[in-house]
Amino acid sequence: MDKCRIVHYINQFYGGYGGEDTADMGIEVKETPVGPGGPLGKLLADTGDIVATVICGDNHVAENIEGVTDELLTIIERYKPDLFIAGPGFNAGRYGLACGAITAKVCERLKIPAVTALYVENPGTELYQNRCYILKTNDNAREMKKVVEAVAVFARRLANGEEIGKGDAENYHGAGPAPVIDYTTPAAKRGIDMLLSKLRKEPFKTEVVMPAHEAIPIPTIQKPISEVLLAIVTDGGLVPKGNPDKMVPVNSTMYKSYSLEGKNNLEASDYEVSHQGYNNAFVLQDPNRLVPIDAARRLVEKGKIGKLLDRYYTTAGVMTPMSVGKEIGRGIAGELKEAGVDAVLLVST
Amino acid sequence: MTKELERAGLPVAHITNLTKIAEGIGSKRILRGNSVVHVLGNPSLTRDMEVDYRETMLIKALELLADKPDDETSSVIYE
Repeated sequence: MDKCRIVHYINQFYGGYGGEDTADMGIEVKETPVGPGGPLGKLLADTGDIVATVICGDNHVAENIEGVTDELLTIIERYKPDLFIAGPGFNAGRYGLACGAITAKVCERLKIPAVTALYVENPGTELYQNRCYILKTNDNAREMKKVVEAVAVFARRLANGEEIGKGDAENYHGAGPAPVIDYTTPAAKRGIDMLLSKLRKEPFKTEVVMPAHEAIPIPTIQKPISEVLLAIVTDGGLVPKGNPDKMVPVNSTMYKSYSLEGKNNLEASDYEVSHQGYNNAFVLQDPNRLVPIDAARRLVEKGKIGKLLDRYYTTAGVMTPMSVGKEIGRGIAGELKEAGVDAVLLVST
Repeated sequence: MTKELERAGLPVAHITNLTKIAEGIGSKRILRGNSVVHVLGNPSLTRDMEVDYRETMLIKALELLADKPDDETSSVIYE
């Protein structure tokens, strides 16, 4: 195979221009390997040459991610690359965003193999993990040598057209690049072909990639249930009568908590439902069917639950994008931790 | 939401009728509710019986919370 042409993207810091003081700098191109491109180029010497290093200030790109990545794309295309690599960006937020955005764009528009590497919590990971390959790193650039090696190995496989497996096995985030669908073949035929391949135990590529959820260690309660402080959370949209916070019934980006102080059960006359996704007549009739305060209080009395948090949390989980759901979850989690809650009942309609 | 709560170290018992979705989004302790429209209710019962029923459901949820699922990769679902 001919040696392939590699373009590498890095930020101003790794480009040797400085730190935050130069984060506003625009796009610069060096027709040699720069920074991590040095070792990367050496490791990939058998595969190709880094013909250009594209460098951009973190602020410049992050403040106008679409516009600047379009500019970057035009420049990258000029070098006729066969392979594109960005970063690694570890846990650097703006840099990670840029790495993810440009890698996704190169992959989708130039249709060449592309890869970057980021930490799981990097905002760029969540945004772009289902549009391109983002290898997993830890959050610290001290691991640079190891990560550059991993990127080189992966990039070489991409360049050689090797089959790449699922993210869990191959150590990349999410689902990777979106599958390329040939729409000139009718959907019914594509579906049957996939099914036949599956039956024959031949390889096939699904067109509907389920989001890969990262594994989180399952937390456990460190004390008897009879001593825990329990909180109740619902996405069923139960709000006090009159909906004082104007909670929206669909596509909600907010959550609220409402007091349970002095309540042994939830009276129908005190509540309403702001949720467009289910017939809420039964909950309006008896709100305890969604937020089970009557039964929970009894269990507290019987000593089966330590205490019940004196407010419940609510949102409307309808048409909520995963990213917003996560934000809502994070917000509620923060407040519950602060209140010393030990465990949560989440009631979903 | 479950994942973010659990990421913060808070065990969650997810009570819902849509157990498959709950499993899909990564809930690990799942209790099937009575119905989408009355997750913790049963309108065919008298009010007192319904509260008893709800209490039984919560006890099941508490059991889920007290246990640690053996397998980190799959969910425990009480149907």
